[in-house]
Amino acid sequence: MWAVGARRVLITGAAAAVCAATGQAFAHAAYIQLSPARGVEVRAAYDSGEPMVSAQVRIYAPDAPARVWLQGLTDESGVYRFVPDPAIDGAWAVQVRQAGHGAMGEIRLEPTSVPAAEAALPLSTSATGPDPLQKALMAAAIIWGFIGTALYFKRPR
Amino acid sequence: MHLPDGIVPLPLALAGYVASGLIAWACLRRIERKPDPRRELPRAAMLTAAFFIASLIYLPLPPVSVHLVLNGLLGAVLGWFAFPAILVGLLLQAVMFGHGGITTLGLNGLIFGLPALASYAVFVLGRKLSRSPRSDALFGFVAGAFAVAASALLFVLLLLWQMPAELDSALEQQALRVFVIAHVPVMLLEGLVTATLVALFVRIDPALLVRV
Repeated sequence: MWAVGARRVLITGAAAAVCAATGQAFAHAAYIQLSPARGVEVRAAYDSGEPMVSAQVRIYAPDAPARVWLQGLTDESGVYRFVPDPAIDGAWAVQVRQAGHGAMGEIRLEPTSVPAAEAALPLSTSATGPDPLQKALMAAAIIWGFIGTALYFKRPR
Repeated sequence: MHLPDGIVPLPLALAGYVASGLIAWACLRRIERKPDPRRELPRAAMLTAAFFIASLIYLPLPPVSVHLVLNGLLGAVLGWFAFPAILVGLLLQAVMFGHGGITTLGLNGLIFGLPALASYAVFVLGRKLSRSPRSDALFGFVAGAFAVAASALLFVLLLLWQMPAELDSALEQQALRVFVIAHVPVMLLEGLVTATLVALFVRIDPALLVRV
């Protein structure tokens, strides 16, 4: 899973069985087929930790990165699940967007293996993003830099 | 209110860099003409720090969460320094916390910086019309509130203009409406913060404010 930008898109490439049961179910006028499948879970949240509810999700397949392969909305927990076409290998791009805020991420699917999540944007340097303590330390370091600048120019010449 | 990477086409992002660069250059030329530009640098450094940290201060306004901006405060207090200060603050916000994109830094500079310069104009004009502590605070409020409103408006207009065809535009517009409504309290709060600081500066040292 990866955190990208101010808004996080966590892509879980675990072997989450979207359809857990195997077999067929029949009814009078309907027919469904259930089969196990490996799925991808997209978890979108603002950097304040709040889930991005009803955010628009767009999935781009590796063989046609300019065309939307699938689109949908995140649920109340900011989660969206999809099952990529196992016949298409490569990096699947995921974009989540809401009111101009959003993030992009990629997940690489390799044949015969569990999908391995991979970072997409150069901004993402950490798998989970800075925690509050790291953020506070970074902010303190920057502020100290500004204070130093202010004191430097404040000194008598 | 920060545009992230990947939201707007690259040519537009590059145009944002060009426009921001030109405005920053014009501001620096104005600063250069001041009798002693170094004198105002400590204040600019401290307010850049305030602008940088403001994006980490969240205001939970269900169903959304918004953060402080402070561009109106920078405009009213720093004048021409506000635009370059905002660019520095935005760069650090993008690099350190991922608030806003690197490719969209120029556009974000316009979204936050242009209203800051407009607030400067509003504040200076107001102080020319009336010079009393009360009117200074009033125009400080107007400058602070106006900058947030103008930034939100620029942000929304840009997104509406660049709405991708495959996006559900009705849903996005609904989300943008919520975004705008959520910024009304921020607007009022930043107006109050700017008015309070202006009143404080007038009381302790009026030279801290831009000269009229």
